[in-house]
Amino acid sequence: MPTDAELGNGHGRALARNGRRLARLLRPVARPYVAAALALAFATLATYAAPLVVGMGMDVAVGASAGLDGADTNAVRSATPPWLAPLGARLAAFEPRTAIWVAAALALALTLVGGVLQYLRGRLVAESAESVAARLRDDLHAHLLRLPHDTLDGHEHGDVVQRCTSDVETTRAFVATQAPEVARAATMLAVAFALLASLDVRYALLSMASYPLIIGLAIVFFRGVRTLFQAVDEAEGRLTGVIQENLSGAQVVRAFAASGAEVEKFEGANSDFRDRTVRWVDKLGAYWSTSDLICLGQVLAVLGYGAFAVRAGEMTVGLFFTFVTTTSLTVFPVRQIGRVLTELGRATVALDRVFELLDADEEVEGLVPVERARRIEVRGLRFAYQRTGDEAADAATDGSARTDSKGLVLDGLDLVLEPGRRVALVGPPGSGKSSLIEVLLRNRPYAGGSVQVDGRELAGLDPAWIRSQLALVSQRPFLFSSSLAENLRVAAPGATHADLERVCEIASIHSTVAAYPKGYETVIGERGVDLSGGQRQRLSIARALLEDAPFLLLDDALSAVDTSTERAILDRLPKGEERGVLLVTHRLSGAADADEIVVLDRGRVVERGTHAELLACAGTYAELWGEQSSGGSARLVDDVAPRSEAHAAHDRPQLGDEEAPR
Amino acid sequence: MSAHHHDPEEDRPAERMDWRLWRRLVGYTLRYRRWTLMLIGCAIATGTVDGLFNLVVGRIVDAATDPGGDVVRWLCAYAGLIVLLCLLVRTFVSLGGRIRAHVAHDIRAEAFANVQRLSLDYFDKRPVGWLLARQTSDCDRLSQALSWGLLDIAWGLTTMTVSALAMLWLDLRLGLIALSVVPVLWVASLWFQRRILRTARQVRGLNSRLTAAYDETLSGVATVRAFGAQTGFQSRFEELTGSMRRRSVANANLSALYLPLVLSLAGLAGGLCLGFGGVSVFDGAISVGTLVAFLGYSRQFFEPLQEMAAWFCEFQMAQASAERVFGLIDEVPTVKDTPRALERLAAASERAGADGSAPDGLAPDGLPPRIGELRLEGVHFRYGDGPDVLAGLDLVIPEGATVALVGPTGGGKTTLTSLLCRFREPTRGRLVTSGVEYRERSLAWWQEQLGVVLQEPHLFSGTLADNLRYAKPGATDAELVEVARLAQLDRVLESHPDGFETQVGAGGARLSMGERQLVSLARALLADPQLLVMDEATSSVDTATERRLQAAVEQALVGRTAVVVAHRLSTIRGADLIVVIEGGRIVESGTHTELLERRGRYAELEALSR
Repeated sequence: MPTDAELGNGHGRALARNGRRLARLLRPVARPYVAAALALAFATLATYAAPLVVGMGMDVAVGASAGLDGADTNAVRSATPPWLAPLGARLAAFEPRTAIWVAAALALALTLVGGVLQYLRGRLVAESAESVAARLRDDLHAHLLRLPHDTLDGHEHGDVVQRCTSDVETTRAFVATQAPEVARAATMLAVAFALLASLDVRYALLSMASYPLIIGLAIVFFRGVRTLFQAVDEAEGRLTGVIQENLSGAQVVRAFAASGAEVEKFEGANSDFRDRTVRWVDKLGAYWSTSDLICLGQVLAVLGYGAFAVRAGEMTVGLFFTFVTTTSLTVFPVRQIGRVLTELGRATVALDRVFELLDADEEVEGLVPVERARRIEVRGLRFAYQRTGDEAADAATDGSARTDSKGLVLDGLDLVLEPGRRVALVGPPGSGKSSLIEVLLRNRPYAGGSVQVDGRELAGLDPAWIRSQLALVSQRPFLFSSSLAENLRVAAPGATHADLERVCEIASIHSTVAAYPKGYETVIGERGVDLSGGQRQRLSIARALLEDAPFLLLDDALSAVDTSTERAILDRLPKGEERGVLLVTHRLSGAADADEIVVLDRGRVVERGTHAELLACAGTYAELWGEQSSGGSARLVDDVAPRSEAHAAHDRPQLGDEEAPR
Repeated sequence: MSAHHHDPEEDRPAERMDWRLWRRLVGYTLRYRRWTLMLIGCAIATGTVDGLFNLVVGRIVDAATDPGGDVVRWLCAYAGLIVLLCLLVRTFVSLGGRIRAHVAHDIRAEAFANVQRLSLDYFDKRPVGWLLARQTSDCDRLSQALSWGLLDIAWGLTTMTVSALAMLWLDLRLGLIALSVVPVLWVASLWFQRRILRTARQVRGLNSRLTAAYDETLSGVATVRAFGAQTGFQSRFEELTGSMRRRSVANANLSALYLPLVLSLAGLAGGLCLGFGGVSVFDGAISVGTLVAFLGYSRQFFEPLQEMAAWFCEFQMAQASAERVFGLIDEVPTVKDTPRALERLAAASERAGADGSAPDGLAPDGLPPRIGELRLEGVHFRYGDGPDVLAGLDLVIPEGATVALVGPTGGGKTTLTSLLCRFREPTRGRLVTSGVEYRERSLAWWQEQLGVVLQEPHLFSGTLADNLRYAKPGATDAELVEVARLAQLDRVLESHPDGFETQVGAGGARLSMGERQLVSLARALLADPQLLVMDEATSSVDTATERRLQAAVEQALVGRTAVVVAHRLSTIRGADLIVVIEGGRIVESGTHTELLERRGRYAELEALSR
């Protein structure tokens, strides 16, 4: 993100860069936007023409129209500019009372025309700005769906949402409000100057003398006040963070009866935000009063000069009126220019943030084979999480192994997946199980080794295609806050109701769903039904089955399901030729009947083989199996006798079965 | 994404002003009575000074056209008004900022404090973002209305009144003519503002749906991609942005119409002034300075309108915000100290005397500080109007015992633990501790005696040490090392170079689930609880770690009552009592051996877990 400290050339570059970006955003709405600018220009003309006509009317009223005869125009300047002399002459031709009414009607007509033009401007600008915003939102959303995981990891979730919402809003406000405001003030300045200069050049110069000062002051001030504003922003961010954490950790706060400490932490952030806001607004007060002083001082100068000129008979009251009115019409919008110009800085930051996201590279597309994947062969796979300098990239799930000497999470892994084969992956946290799945899904690039899908290297395959070949069920499955049926159909939009029931039967969730009054149309989440961890996992298994991919990846997908249900689900999973399964699990009971069990530790395979083979070689797996199935030392209270009975009664027959063929 | 999580409260229009609500709101401003009065005073003074400018301009014109007039005097008066105005602006901006910041602070603090008191059932159906918005943007909006809104309204009304009075005073007839447009203005303003308000509400509702949609896309992007469902998502999103665009344009259109309307009415008033006034000047009935002042006033009268119209909308929005924030502040927790417990607390604190400490090592409610034996008598529980999740549980948990709860998913195990923690209370039946129903004891004391480890533990952003110290703020480093050792956290610490100073990220996101569970366990142990509740506390920890963990936990459990929920039956074999819960009832209980011998449900589960 560019900093505000960008000075000189840096700032110029930032402006140029964002100018190009704005042009890119505005190109599709160029026509209405230009039309809006024209309406603005004409509306401004009408706005200024009205006091001019009023001034002329006033001259008629005080009987100063004598000057219009042309005889002594050099001596007394009237409210009629030379280019409006014909109109002045026309007015003078009327009976004075009628002339006054004509001028009044003319002024009203000008105001009405100005009003219509203002309306057109408002409408056109709104249409342009809203369609710019809509397109930007759509583009960002589409882009998010295509960004690589590594890129998304580099950003906090909330930060991305903020870029897509409030930064887009800042951009929209710039197009809808700030840019037109600058244009309006600039047009006003130009029109007012041209108009006044056509009446009296010296007077025109005087009535605009303070403008550079006003604009300069505003720019200097707002640049200076920005550090204060940032301090407010930061304090607000901290406060929001404190509240958010308190809310998401509500249960922990209660469990530790820690609300006292929470209130204290909150109060610190809350009053900090308050005090910084006060300081910032205080500075604003100083600015507004100073700039008011200059602006009104400008009006006073015009009043003073004019009063003496009228006194000296050098100008008519009407001209005096025109000058005073025009000056006070112009001076306050000009004061806003300074503020808007400095707010440009905010729009610049917002644009930078939006485009940083928008310009990030999307996932590269790749080769899309026509046939279904048949064999995935992993050879010597090495993988490390990319560090982006920013620690945010550490938000990886299997973080612990990253600190290996080489930072490798997977270090020389071999594995073969084929339809009809069930491979189980076991190992301690951080051993690289979930990372392997991330690599297979092409969510993350691998550092070395190879992954071949039917002889083609994974790195060259289309990410969307490979994902369509792998149906994933993750440890903490994500469900959308829509109906159960919609959640399932994410995997297969055209699935029939019978399809849904079939996969839900397999995943042991159908009876739960059927028990809801609305069945498959039950809405999950915020306003709907809450699902337990186990129910979510089972639903996501059903969803994965619906995808009908040749490979099924279960990433500790049954951890919240009780053992008997787990067994039932695993037994019902499609077997045989049609599907290959990769099962990551902590519960060895689920792994036991896999065709191959791979024991991982710190990114390396330490053992592999069938259940029986691994038990026979009496290594890590056998030890773990012993613990899990017999209780072993895994007990809460020392109670040796019943344990051995249990062992005798229940473990042996099964172990015997397994070992029989050997 | 769809219309489902459309928040009906968000779009409900505040049809009319709710004066009781506003009285209560103004109460917050009136806590700063001196500032508020000064602010209103400043606003009125500013409006008056603003109104005087045109009068002085008229005098300057008259003085300039009258050979004997004193131009300098009136110019000086003008300069004096400028100085006065600038001082006023300086003061009211500071005051407004001060009031705004303080009011926001106070309302937010009240909301936050009450959220701390609310029981967990309140959070069940309310997403974090919903609750967050009430404590942030709603509070801000309210405070804006109560400071700047107040200021602008007071200033605007004063300016309009002063302008109107000045016109009537300068020339009654001309004044009445100029003000003749006011009824039209009034009707038109109401008509437009009602409609602007309605569309603004729609835009706001759509905006929150847009944010929610981005949020969901981001959280679910991996899932969307895994199933290749991007196209459907994008097109549903584009429907949303499309209606957002249409509604926003409709809203902007109304504003684009309203402003020119006000300007045209001002133009009409000005035209009438010029016509009638100009003729009067020509006839010598009024001075030209009066006409100039009149024309100025006819413009100034309309100037505050735009601002005030904006506040008209904003106040209605603020009222809706106020309803939401007050809803939060007024929400009564469902789990709180009962009258009986409060009596005990009061009686005990009386006896305690000045220093506030409970006498003779008693708990703050004057009862013995031990939880002792826990006895569940016919405990029922259900969520809202739903079916019974627990249907008549009778269970005795002896002091110091380890009780394991097993059974199929959805059987009610987790619900039972949340009753024990008093996150929720039984809808029927009693839970008796050392002979006293636990609702008669101090809630705060009860929860201080607990250690809770959940399946998906929440960690706070900050360091590992911060998270551990959450359980015991003054814990020494040595204590941290000790609990880390007990919870098998030392291996995790080794792999993170910063050790205890490792940043865990928001919600603990930088640690794996298994690591989070270990941290959460260490945290619970540090609290040195009498009752330890572990709900699937080690489900994501591998078997080897779990095995080591259990030896340690066993040691830590000496002298503590523990209630453990586990799917991996191997981990609870040694429990003093195993309770099988199914369909909200206890179907079996006993030790591992007893249950196996019975060859009932537990034996079945046990066989299946092989």
